[in-house]
Amino acid sequence: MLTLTVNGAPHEHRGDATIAALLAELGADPGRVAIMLNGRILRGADRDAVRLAAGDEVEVLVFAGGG
Amino acid sequence: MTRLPEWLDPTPWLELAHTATPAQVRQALAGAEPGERELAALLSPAADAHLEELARRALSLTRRHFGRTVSLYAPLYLSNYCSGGCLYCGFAADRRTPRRRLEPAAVRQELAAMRAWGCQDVLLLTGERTAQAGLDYLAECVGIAAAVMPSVQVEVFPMPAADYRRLADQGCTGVTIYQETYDPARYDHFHRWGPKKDFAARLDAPARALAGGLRQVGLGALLGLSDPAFDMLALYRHLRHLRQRWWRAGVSLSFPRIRPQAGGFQAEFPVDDRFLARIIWAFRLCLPDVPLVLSTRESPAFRDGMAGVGINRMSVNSRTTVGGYAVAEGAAIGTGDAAAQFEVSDGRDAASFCAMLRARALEPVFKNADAAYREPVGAAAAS
Amino acid sequence: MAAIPANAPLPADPFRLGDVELPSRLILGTGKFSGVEAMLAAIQASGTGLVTVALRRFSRGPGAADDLLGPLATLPNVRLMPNTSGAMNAREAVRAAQLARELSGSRFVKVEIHPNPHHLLPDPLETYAAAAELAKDGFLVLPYIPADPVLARRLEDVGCAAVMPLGAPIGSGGGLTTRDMVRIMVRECSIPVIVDAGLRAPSEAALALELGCAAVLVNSAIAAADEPARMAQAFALGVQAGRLARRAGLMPQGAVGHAVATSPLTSFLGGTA
Repeated sequence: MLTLTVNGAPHEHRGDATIAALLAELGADPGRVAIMLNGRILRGADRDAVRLAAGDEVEVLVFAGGG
Repeated sequence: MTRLPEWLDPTPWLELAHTATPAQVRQALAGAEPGERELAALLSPAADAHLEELARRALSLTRRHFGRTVSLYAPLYLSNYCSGGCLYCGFAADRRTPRRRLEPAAVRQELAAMRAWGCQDVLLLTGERTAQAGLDYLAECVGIAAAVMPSVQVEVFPMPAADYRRLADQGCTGVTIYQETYDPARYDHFHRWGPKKDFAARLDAPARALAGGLRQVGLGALLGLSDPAFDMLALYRHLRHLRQRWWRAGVSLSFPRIRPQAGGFQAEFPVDDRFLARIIWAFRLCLPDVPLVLSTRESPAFRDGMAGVGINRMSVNSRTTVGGYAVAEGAAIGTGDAAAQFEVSDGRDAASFCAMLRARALEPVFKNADAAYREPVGAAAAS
Repeated sequence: MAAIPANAPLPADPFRLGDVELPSRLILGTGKFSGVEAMLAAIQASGTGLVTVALRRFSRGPGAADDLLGPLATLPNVRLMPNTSGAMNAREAVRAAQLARELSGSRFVKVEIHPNPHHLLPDPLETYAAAAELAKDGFLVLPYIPADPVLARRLEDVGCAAVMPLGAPIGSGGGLTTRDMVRIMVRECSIPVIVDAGLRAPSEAALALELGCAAVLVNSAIAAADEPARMAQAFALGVQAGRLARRAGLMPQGAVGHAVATSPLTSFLGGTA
């Protein structure tokens, strides 16, 4: 189990430390989110390669309404 | 160049400028934001009937944009050497005019004499490029002038942008260059030989000056050479084109008119006083924030009538001979002098001219801005 | 009903941002709608080809921001223009834009940096810095700015695809309070000028187009209307009317009063005046 910060709040991750697992855990559709890991934008291919570590800060963002 | 580029070609508006009806003129006067169409209508003969109204509106707009100030400057001819062959000019290479140029010491003396009567804004002039008066000479003179005059502009041969930059580095702030006429065929006829025969090179010179870091350009066409409506509409387009691209630059307009000259060149399209006044007022209406300039080529009566009414910048106490300021008191000035480029009509000294302006509730301004805190041209971000 | 469909483009009057041609001069914001259904209905009624979206943190449960990517994907002719709202400075705006591009694949970005949460007025300095960097990075940058003609020219010079001066503060419904400045901007800029924020009524949108603006961006006026879809249609018609009028050439406006000289100004000229 990994303790991460996701969207500014503590999150216990119980998966295999991949982005895909984290998103599944959150209930987020991978095709509908943008991700930052420790302040860095995670582009498509990088997502698969990444292994999350304890203390990582993840931002998961979607498009919402705005002017 | 035989055909004008589309951005410059005034042909679409030429017919209106020749044949506008009284109704079209009234409509042009009614507009709150007059543009090219309105300029064309106001250039047409039918607009002569509305001269007083044009004058009133020009007065109002001049006052709104420039207050009651009239900016004053004076020309200093550095040299009358010229390689050119302009049919209409007293300095053409085949004229038997004695040639001379001011050496640096003489330039200093002339400038000191000009400062003595209040001049702080000088326009340095030469003819077409010659060995005697080329870029090096000019750059040196600009440097000398910039040391004693807050504003130094030049009216000289066209040059590449890099050369304009050299002048800018020496302290030059502006370039005046008249296309003479925007009609390529007539232009070719008037410019018999030499580099000035290149219409396109001259047309592009103001843009090169701005690219070289100069901040102001003055445009104009020599009224009388060609159809005034054609040249004035093209002049409008030329200004608009430059302002669109060089949005930080100041662009001003002059209205030189062919005047009597030793050698007897006669204008084929003479512009009388009423027409010249109307041209200037039409430009004031259509380009309310553009400085409009009138020189001492024009008579005292005409200048008095136009000062502050459309015109907000004027030359004063001019000599159109080489030098001519540093002379003994009481010596005659250049009227009728064969060595002058053109005859000065208004020979009033600065004090008299300023007295006239004040009598008309106008304020003569010799200096517009100080360059004390400005960076050298190269240091500022290029525009 | 009019013979011309509300969302039909004028003949030979293409509206382009960069190299992208858009079918409508009305751009829609997607905020403040009562729900996704209302938003989609308004977008379709407007005929727009471009809508703005904001980046928000994903979350589940009450108060969660609705993901719009899915719903908007059902409108294949509508492109996305992510905005950078929430960013307080250029660095954050650039990061938001890059994140958004990852997600949307769209080259459009509305640079929106308003550090004061009360009046939401844009920060011109941060906006310029962000716009310059994003334009270099290949974005089609539409900066949201005060109606400042000099700032607009500077943004044009650094490669923005358009400039978006505010009509009035966001959400204020103040109308086209900046019309005099916008007029100058239209004259001075070669890139499209798009009024964004503060428009309340279709007549104001028409006015913006009559003044020479290339398009308008409308959000609150539509989302907060009683019937957003109908209001969207009304705005589309207003934009079309304004553009058509501009193309048709409005008659000259009357000149403002001028000073009257007490004595004739032309007596020095001779002849009859």
